Amino acid sequence: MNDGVSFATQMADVTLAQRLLFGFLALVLLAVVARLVNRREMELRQGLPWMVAIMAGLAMAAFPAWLLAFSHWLGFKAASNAAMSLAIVGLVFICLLHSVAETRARRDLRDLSQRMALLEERMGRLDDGAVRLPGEDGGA
Amino acid sequence: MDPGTDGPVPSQPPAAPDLAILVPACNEADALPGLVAELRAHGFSPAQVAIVNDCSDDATLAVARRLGVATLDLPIRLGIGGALQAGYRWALRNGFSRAVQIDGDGQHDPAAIAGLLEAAKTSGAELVIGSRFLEPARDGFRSTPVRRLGICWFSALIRMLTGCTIKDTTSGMRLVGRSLMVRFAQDYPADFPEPETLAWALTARHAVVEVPVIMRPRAAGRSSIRGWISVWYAMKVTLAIVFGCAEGARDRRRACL
Repeated sequence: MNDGVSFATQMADVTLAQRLLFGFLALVLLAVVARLVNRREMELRQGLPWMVAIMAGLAMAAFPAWLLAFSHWLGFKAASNAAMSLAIVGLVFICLLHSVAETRARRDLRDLSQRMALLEERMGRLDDGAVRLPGEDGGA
Repeated sequence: MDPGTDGPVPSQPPAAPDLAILVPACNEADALPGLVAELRAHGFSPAQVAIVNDCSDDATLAVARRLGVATLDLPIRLGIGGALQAGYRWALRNGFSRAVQIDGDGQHDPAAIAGLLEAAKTSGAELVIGSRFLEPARDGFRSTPVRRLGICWFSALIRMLTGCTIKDTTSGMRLVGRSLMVRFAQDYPADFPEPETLAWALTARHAVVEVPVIMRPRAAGRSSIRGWISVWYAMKVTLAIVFGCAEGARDRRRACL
């Protein structure tokens, strides 16, 4: 798949401005995730995959040679294709994690709703005197 | 006059006192009084009946409470599966050993419950399905042609996977024995549950029989399965049947160990 574009040529194509921009965006995203976790608006276990992905992005920005070497090893023609493919795989993985988390949350919510409905029904019958708690004999 | 509370009160003991009657209801305020009145007329006590209000927008909750039956009010909409599961949990907590589920829209005739009970007694089946497609019930309401086509497909798929022929795979009128009640209280599909639970029960080697019942057109409200939801329904249920069979086989293997 590699069309023979030299490693050095590709390295030269990654400009400092691109690296700075990419690193800056990754840092902003990291700050947003850290802030969400800090304010308890995101659980750490949910934030961790994002942080790992962002750290990987930062490493790529800091050391583009790693990405170039990796994409070369995988046989991609351009490092950007490899980066995009890795990003898509990472996002799919995070989406899967969230689907699992949502399923669990829905199951728990369903269980809680049913318990609440059952308790309310029982409370209603207690109020009506149709159900007696243990120890209640009905006498004065 | 409230037909639910003013209907004929049976003088004899309640019919099948160990039977819970579970009625999931979402926006069925108009149909519920008639249904409860019919249940009372057939000798069922209000204490046997649980209406599960699935977060209705209309007066279903108020109507159900006024009818004097047990009323479970779900705080968020869980769908038919979640509502029925709540009903099964209620039935187990209150010591019932069998449960029959009937729709709150008035399509199911309470007179047919006796037939389900009789079939369970004579066959020993854990799951008795009220079928629209067995003689002589074919004269009653049998759904739209498109939906009948879907039901045929589900029936064929279940026959292919389990070797058992069930004509009415989507019937919501069912009688369930205690062991299945326990299972359904623990785990019940969230939506479109009938074909999936049927596939599971057959593969797990629970005895299942069908008896003819005559169903009526809806007394009020409208079906939730319409338009594009029907396509989604067919796809989801097809997959659910496959997974239901796999789960049933897994449960059967566990039971054998």
